[in-house]
Amino acid sequence: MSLLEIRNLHATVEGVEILKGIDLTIEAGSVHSIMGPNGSGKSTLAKVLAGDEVYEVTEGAVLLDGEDLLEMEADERARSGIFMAFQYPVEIPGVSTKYFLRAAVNAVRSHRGLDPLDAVGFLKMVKERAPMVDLDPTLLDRSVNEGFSGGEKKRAEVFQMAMLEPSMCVLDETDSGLDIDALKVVADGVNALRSPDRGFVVITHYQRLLEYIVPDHVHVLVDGRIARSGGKELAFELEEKGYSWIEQGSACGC
Amino acid sequence: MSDDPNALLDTWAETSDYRWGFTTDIESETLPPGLDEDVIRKISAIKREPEWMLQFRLDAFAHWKTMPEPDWAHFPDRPWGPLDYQAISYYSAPKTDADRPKSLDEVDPKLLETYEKLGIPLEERAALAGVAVDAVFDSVSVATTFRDTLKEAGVIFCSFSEAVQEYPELVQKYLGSVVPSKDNFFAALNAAVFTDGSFVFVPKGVACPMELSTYFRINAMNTGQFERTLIVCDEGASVSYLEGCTAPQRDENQLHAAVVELIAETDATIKYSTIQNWYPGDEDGKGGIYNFVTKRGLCRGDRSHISWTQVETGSAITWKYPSCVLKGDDSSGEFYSVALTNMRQQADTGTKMVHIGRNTTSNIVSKGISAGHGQNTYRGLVKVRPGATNVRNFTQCDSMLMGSECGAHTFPVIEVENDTAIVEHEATTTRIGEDKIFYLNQRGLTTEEAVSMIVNGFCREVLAELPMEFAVEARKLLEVSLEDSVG
Amino acid sequence: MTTMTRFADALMAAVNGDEGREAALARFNDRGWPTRRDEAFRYLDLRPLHGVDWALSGAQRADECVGLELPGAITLVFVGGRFDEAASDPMPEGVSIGNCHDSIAADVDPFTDLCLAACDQTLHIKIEAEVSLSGPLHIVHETRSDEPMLSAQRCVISAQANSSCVVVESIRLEGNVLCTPVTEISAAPEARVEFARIIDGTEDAWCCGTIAVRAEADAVVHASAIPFGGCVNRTRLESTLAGEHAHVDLRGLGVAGGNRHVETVLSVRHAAPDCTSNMLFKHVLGDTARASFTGRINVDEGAHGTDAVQTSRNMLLSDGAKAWSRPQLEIYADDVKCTHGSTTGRPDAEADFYLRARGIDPGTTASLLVWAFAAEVLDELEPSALRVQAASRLLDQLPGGDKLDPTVVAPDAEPDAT
Repeated sequence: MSLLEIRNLHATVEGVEILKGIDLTIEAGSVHSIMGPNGSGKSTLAKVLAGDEVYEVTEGAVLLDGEDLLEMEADERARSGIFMAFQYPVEIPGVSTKYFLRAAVNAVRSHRGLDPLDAVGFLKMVKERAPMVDLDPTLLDRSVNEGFSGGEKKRAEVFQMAMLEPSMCVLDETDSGLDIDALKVVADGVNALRSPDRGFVVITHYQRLLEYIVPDHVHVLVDGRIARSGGKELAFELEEKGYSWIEQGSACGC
Repeated sequence: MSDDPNALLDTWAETSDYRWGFTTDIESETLPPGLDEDVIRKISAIKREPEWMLQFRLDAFAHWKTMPEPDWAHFPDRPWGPLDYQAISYYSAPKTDADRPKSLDEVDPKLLETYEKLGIPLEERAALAGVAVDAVFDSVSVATTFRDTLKEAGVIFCSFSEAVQEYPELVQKYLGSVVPSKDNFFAALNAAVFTDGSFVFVPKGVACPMELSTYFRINAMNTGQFERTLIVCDEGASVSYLEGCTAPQRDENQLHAAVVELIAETDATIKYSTIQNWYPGDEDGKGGIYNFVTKRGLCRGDRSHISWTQVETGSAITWKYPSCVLKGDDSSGEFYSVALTNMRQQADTGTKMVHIGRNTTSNIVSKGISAGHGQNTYRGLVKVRPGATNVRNFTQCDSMLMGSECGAHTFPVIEVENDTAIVEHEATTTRIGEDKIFYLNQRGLTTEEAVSMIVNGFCREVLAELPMEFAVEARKLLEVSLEDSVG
Repeated sequence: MTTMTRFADALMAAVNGDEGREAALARFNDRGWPTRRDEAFRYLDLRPLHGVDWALSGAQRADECVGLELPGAITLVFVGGRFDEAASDPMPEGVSIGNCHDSIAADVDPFTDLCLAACDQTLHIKIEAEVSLSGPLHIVHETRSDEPMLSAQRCVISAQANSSCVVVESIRLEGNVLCTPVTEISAAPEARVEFARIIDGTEDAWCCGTIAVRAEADAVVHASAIPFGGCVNRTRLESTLAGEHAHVDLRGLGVAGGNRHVETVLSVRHAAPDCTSNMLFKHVLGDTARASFTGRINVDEGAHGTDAVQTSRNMLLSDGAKAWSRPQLEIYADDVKCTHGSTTGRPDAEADFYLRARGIDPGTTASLLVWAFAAEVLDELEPSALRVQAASRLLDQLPGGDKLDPTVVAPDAEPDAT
């Protein structure tokens, strides 16, 4: 059984169709990259997988470990193993990161039949995993994402991923707004989390990130459909020739 | 020349003159000052009104007599005494041989000259800008153009008196339906004594083929003006209406108490734009127009839309709150305002957005600029009724202060009675930034250019809402005031 | 007024020839109760108070004292507005009880007048120059009465130059009680005063109080009003920045369910140059609860360099709840920076999605967001024990608060992993 199976997925926002039939199968242990020009539907795909109610799925199916993902609420999906690293992590004033993360970790643990972590166990886990993304632990005393720099927000997302141990990670343009050093730190964190029982979808506009997180498969999304799929070399080809190369190709049907 | 920009601004405020103040000596046929039932009957008789119209006036008058004159507005250093309503003449008409002129050729040339001086050459403007003009000189319409084009489209655009004669059933149906004759002191006065104004009816599905425009002008001594405007957009219709006014210099305070009613049926859109440049009085606060206006629009049908845009630079005192009653589901209201006060001017303006229908939205952008001894007040209400679900309102209220003698005040009221509403209000008050002026000086601009640029930038969001011809005029108006700021 | 014989007689007896208090009583009698036509009372219905024949004494101590636990605090207990020596710590130096004629409350209202007239046991707190009070002063007011009872409490805090103090008032009302606490805070140059008033009341209790602040040059005053219960809770917070570089920080939090009404009337006057003020007021409203907020910033002529920020936010949790907000600016100086912001709405949907995308169930995310919204007001409370206890009470009051882990109150207080 595949980890994630997307079949003929169509989705609309406010009546406008953004995803026009996506088919994609992700095996545990593999890293898929989804690239594409602005407005092609990359981020929509991530949000639809995570269960954002702004988007309406009009056709198709998504199975996670054989379970119907689309039937689940956003939080159920998260507990079942889907993790989306947000392109724009939301600032939530007043909610301490520590409290929030412990609540999330324990929600996931209870779903897996594990006992909740007490404060001591939780902090121990934090201390273990914060260094993975070089996260300043004092950030955890602040409100969720509040006043974080762009780089800190992205690192905090990957740190949360490390804490929640999801089976299916979706990274939505995690590279946007990062300088090269921050990018390396984030990529190292992601690479450390690669494992045979975990799948990744890495959404990006640029090939740059894929130099650090090397994908097994690359898909190019154009106008809500996967226009081309290939190995990692496809990313380099895109870098060279630009998206218009694929767009033209898909327009004339070849 | 002083180096301190703020000192320069103070100087500006003291020296700016009213450029467009002049008078035209046309003989007027005027009722003697005074107000009683007889005067109202006379006005109605001169205008050959039907009985129901006279009754409307008399009811309003009877109620008006029981109402106290309002004194709630915020006038810190301009003592607001009661007006002498018996000293005002309630009717004056340009003296012409027979009835109203039928075309521009029949209009008194002096009148046309006046418009020329104002930079509003009627025929040119009408021809070049494709704007139909219903010019009100004192209280009676004297010229109307482009009537035929509009007629072809089915749009009725005429003087209010004409509408009473020609379309009595429409007038009777809508008159007072948004601003009842007993609404407030000045609306009641207007209902009793209004002499003329404009009437617009856009039938089902028609997009009015041109911008409609009216220029108002106060001229005769001691003559209050009581315009009444009624604009109705039937289902799916749309119209953009422009109102601009400027007045000659006078020593005596003049009362202007207009009423504007807008009605938008299902899917209809009304855009109402105003440039108000009545005579503001002199540097000592002597003279100037009292501008006490009631403007209200009713979004009666679903998905209807009403937008108010105003640039208020004139008048000694302005009280004006163009409002929207959002009754239809998914209807929306907008209010964009620039108010500039200097010398001893006082502007107390804002809007009311009353959300009754579901999914209704409103947007308010108010920019107040105070200079000299000017006082600028934003007063507004956003109300969400219990049944109005998913309401969205955003209000932005910014004030800019120039010089140390002026004031800026903000008094919004927000009443939310439904938990699904999202209502946001933001207000800021700042002085015109010396750092910005310096930056622009350093790039080679004079202080007056810099100030003008900053003020225009400050007002940009509002000016962008005006129709093109009006936007140019509004920018010029702001600049004219600002040019004089550094002599 | 004829039906209020006992009350009227008691008031007459209470003022007993005292000039200031007689004047206050005369003002109250002249004006009577304001109606909704009065701008200041547009949203609050005072008709339930008409003709009520309050007693001025006879209050009982509450059966169970649920005071705050503030380590190192000196606690002074008042019952029904009268000092209870037995229940109190020894009175420290500079603190006394007596009559008081003058009031710095510039613009009095009927409740203030009632208090000024009826209170003959004003608590005076004088902090001498250069003195820093080591622990907080904890003033406990308790009033329990089944019969209508007016509890007039007054406290005058005078912080001399470069002194500092922390004063916490905790007011507990049970039964048919109208409480009119008036606290006046004068901060001399460079003085620092932290003040908080926490109000707890049963469902028929009214609390209509005033906090008046005057800050001289370089003084810093923080004042908070946190009503947790009662039928009507009205707080007038009035402050004047009278000397250069003074700063006031005013906060309020109202959490209300049922048919309660929380009202805040706030005014900040910048009378001197280069002063700063910061105001944060929040309401969380469930059921058919109502909140009204009027906040005015006045900037006098010559008060250049003013920097004033006023924020009022309301969160509505049910379709019967109502919020009215009137943030106002009145400015007569040009070199100023004044902003006010007001928002009313439900918890933020985006934040809710973010939390749910991390696996937290919808009920908990909602509670967490409401908690986060409200708790911000408590952030600056001093001492920290007060912050923690106020937060715990908030959690008890909050709709869905039981869904949250108590550690949400003080995540910093968790034991460190070793």
